[in-house]
Amino acid sequence: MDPVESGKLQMSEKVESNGRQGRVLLIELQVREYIGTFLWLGFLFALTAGVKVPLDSSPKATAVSVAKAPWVFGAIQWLLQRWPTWLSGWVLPLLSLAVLLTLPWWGQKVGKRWVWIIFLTLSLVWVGLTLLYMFMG
Amino acid sequence: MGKTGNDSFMGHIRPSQIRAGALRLRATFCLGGFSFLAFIVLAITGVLLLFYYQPGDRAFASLSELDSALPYGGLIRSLHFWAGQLMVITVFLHMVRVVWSGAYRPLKELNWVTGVVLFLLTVMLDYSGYLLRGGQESGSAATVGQALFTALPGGKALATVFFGRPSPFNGSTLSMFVWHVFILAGAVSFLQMFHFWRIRRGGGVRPL
Repeated sequence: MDPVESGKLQMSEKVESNGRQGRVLLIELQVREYIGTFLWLGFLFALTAGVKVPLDSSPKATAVSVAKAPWVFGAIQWLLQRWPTWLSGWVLPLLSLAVLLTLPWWGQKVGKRWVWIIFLTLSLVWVGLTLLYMFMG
Repeated sequence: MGKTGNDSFMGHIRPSQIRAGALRLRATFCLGGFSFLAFIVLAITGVLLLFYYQPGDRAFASLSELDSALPYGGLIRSLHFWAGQLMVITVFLHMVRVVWSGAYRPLKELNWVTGVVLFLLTVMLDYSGYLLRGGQESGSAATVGQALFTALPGGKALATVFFGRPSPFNGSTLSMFVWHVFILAGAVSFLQMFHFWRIRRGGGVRPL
């Protein structure tokens, strides 16, 4: 339950508590940050304990392992296998980056709803290609 | 105002009072904070790894020894790896949240641009870290990266600046190590501070 709305935190009430626009003491944010920190660190340690990170294949091994790009570059790798390097490695990523960097300015012209649609489409394409590369190669 | 007032650095980053709306989970989903926390874990585990890791020809051997011979060596390496992957994901989700809530609009456009650059640097940190593993897979990833650069006019020189001269089976070079540990990590640290400063200057986090 929201401590501001429930009115349980006495110190906040002394500052000001009149809805979302009111101001509260920083300690209330810090309490939530501590809880979030413990939860996040717990998840990280559980992941670390549960999923072992393998070493690469030895560089001296005679059997050459099938190379997989790091997953963050999976989408580019997927495109590289199909299209020319200049297009899939430079033009498309840089174009996407330019769209993102200039979003506040073109966003003013097209409106919040279209910004969301364009951003979501762009994200889904890149995430989709990454998943395609990770699971289908 | 003096050092203890709101004009001081800490007073600015951590003011004594904040907007009540910023307390709502929906305001941020803590994604920016989780990204920063991942960076702190990465910095701590990264410094610990530096005590044993040797870039270059000994990269793979030093990581193998770290895993097998040193107490908790494998745990530190795994923590560093998973924190890196989680940071990429949380930074991306943070961007999604910012677009959803319209927090890129004026007067926050500069902070949005900083955030996009931080995302790019985070991805580059992940890639450069992958190359430091020094095995066959990282060697192949380095080869792909070099091929990308050489597709550009004058790209061979650029590739040498970024990658040094890795062998086909070992992506870990001193150049990549310097990029990963000093240049990219330093740039992320600096931009994060600027990012936080701009958030407070823009009036803090507003709810959705």
